[in-house]
Amino acid sequence: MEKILKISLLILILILSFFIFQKIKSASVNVTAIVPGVCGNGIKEGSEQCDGNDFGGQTCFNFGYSGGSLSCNANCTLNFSSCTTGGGGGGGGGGFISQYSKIIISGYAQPKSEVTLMSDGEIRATTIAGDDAKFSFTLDNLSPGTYLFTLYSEDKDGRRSSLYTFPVKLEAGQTITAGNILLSPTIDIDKAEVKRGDFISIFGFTQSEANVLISVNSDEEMFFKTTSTKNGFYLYQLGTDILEKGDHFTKSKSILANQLVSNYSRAVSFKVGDKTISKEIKKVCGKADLNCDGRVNLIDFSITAYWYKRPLTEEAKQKVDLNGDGKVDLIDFSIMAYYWTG
Amino acid sequence: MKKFLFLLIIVLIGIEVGNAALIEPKIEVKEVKKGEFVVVPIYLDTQFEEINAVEVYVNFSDNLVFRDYLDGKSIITHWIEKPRVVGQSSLPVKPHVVERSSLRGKPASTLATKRTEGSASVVFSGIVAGGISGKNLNLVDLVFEAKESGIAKIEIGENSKVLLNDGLGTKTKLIALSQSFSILDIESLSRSELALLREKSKIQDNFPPEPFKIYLTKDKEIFNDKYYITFETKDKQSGIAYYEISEKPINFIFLAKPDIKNLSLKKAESPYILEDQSLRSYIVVKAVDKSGNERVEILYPQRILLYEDILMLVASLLILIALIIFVIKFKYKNEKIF
Repeated sequence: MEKILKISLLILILILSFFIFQKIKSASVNVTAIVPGVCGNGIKEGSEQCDGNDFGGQTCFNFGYSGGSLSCNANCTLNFSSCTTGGGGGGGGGGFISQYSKIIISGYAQPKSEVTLMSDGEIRATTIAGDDAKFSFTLDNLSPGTYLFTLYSEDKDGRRSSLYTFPVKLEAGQTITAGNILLSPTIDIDKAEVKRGDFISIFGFTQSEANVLISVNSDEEMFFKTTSTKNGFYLYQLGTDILEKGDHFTKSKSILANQLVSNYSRAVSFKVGDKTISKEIKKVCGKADLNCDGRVNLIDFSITAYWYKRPLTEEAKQKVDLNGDGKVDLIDFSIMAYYWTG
Repeated sequence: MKKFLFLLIIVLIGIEVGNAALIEPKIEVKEVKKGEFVVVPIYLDTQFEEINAVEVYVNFSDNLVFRDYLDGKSIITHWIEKPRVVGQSSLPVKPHVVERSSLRGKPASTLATKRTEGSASVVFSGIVAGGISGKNLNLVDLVFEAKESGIAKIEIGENSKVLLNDGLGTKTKLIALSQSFSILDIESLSRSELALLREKSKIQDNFPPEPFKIYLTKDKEIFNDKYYITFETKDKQSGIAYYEISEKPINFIFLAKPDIKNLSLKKAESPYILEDQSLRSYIVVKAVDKSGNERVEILYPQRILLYEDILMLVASLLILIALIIFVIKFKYKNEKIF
């Protein structure tokens, strides 16, 4: 009797093991070996200050230093030991003389993309990135003080990267170099709604032959990897059988030569449902682009500021109330700041 | 068990504080004399979050008077509301004798208490276009006058808001700190000596304000669909004092730029409704900083000729041609007769 029980138990364990193995096998389709939410997986997540080379777009400048490079400790906290202060200044002595400062900003966008540089929210310069995605700006005649520099790029199809912002304190006569800036990829999808089990294409442009990490957020975050072509194009066909029905969003970041990690791109949303609907390409005003001129800048800010704390008309509700709560307040300005283009 | 509970509390506080932005007043002086001005920089530490909008209430005790603000070092790119006083102060003023001993060292920041109903505050709000993360980020420098002796307190109101740069305007947790300093009951300097001291303490600024762009626009729901301009700039040292505007009608003969030195400018603010709605004027905007340095930007006329002008020109040409034909015909007729 005891022998029969033992054999039954063994068979039960074997059957269970088989089912567990099958379950794990089916769940691991397309999912890369990245373990989400863990320090050491190379992706800055949650409360981590950094992870490997992923600093979440932060540089020494964000912490009041004037140069150098950040590194990441094993416990995913930032290490500032290679950040530098001061230096680069010149002149001095003999009364008060106006000495202008200079900044050289360089990095990587997408091949042949248009790169825009803003300071304090206003466009200061634009340039076209080279075939190797490299770009460079030199701003001189800057009066000493604190500047907030912002960069973004626009690919050949008009998609924009996310904004890369860093503060810099320039001393009189100082020259500062901010190099190796990696702008985020641009991103798009081919379907607004996808039938569960069908594929959805996630694509965009990034640096040439870079690794692209795609994050899909639903109940839990999933990561997928692909690489870009020589002209910077990347594509990932995501099988939606692993996603629950409902709303999801996706974003991507690039990893260049396993050394530089970009910010996340803007997020695009899609729905997994019972039918497949292609994404319509229609000319509509972008979010927060209140006057529909293709830019989010001081004009849109002034329109929102006009309605701040005023009762809204029906038309104003449609236009300036960006979160649809019936009023214009700090939240609407925050949404506008997120979509700012200068 | 007690040890375990203590550790648990520390860990919980750590978790609570770990994901919160921190705003604090950083006062460098420990004591000032009555009548002196105190600069109170308000700093933000985003604690590794990326933020893009703030609304800050700075409560102050009633032995202080808010006098001015300096935004040259501020990370705020666009002000929604510039610093202004709201409410009446009722934060208690403590006699300085009691607290002086505690002020020998560096003044310690403490967690701010809940805002006293009806207390005076300086409120300001603005956005950081594109978002920012970092620490020691200057929001603004507030200037107070030390009015009465005692302990003066500056605290960040818990009703202040910091929003994440996530495209949704999500509010992040906030740690609001406060600081105190002592106002000594020492007979301060005379008015003229104080004025001289304040003049000397002004920031040395030989740099003009930053270059800026003048945006022309109109909106059917704003200012009765009239054309208006909007502009904003910064001055990195002393801050912007005011703007001046002039609308100079185009000179049809020379089409030359206006002579800025001889323009009559008037003080104005953005947004500004244009007087010349035909858009045939040069619009000159001058930004002046608190040290008197200037930056001038010009918006060129958007139209040179109007539809009516073209009609008038065509009509004049036709009349001229008709006149010439008439004269030629008359001359020809006369020649034939003779």
